[in-house]
Amino acid sequence: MIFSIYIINKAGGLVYNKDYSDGLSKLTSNEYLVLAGTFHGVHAITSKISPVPGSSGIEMLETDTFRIHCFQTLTGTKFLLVTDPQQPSVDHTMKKIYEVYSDYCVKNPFQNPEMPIRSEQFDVHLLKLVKSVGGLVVTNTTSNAYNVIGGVSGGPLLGHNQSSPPTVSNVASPGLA
Amino acid sequence: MIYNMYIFDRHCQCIYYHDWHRGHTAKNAFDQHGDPLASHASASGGGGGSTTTTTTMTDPRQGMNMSLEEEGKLVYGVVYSLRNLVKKLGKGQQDGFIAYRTSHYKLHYYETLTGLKFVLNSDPGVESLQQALRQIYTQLYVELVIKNPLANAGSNGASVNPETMGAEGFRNGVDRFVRSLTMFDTL
Repeated sequence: MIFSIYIINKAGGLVYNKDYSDGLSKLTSNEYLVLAGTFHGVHAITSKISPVPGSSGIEMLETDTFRIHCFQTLTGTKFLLVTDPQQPSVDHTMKKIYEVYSDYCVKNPFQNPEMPIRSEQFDVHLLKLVKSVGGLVVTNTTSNAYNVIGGVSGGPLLGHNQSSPPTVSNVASPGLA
Repeated sequence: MIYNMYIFDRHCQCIYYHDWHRGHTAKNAFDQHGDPLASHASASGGGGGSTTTTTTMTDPRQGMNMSLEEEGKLVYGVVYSLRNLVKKLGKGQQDGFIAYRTSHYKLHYYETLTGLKFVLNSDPGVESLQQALRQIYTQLYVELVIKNPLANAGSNGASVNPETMGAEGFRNGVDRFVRSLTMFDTL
């Protein structure tokens, strides 16, 4: 099961986050930003403290209840995928996420790679992908996912409160059902 | 392959360090410095203060120009941040993380209820060693350090420092225990 996806830009800012199930505790948008920044820093340090030279940064973090997989592109963007510990073939899923990102964010002329991602197409295709790898419990999915879309498109930088009830604007996304 | 091990107390102090295969794969890098993988298990741990440990330990890591003390702080910072991150993200009871993996190593983590942090680095292929760390704590640290009145002396009850006080037995015990692990020198 896929719990969440976060995308961190090369400066450590959170440009995208979305929860797909309630396996993790809900945080405020500020806490997500802090979390992304922390991970960014830790990622850099972990390659420095390697006992053998030439190590990359952290690739997978394992806990009792979930795993965080990190994939860093050559340009420094990091994709974090939080899954349950049994999730199979995460590498493949990660590649697919990168493909979706390339198709709907990188190729989007209006999308600055350092800015928060607000692309409906990206949302839609990511959701489809997550569904296809069994990331979603189909019940209460919709309300959950849309809630978070609302939070993100409000922009973590604007200090939008994620727990606000879904409004018309963030429920009305055609093609998602 | 087991690389090295750190123990930190609650006050962010690295109270124990031991390494085994450090710089093994980097043999070539060190060859030019003359002293490649000199087994620096450093059984001469009597010194105490972190300054002495630093000088004995810098040799095998010339390529990385970072003192052990500095590195200890970074390691502590990493496990501390990750632990907080996991606690925040996880639901309910979550006692830190188990391990993380990079392309070249895997860091195993175990924290006791008293806030002691055990950190062990191995090659990335190894499965979880948290149980091994737990054993080091229960069977070696508790037995040889906590129950050793000399090891506790002079520490103001603040921290137990196995390096300073007659805890040679602990270092030897850890060495023997880690060497007995099946993954000790298999890659």
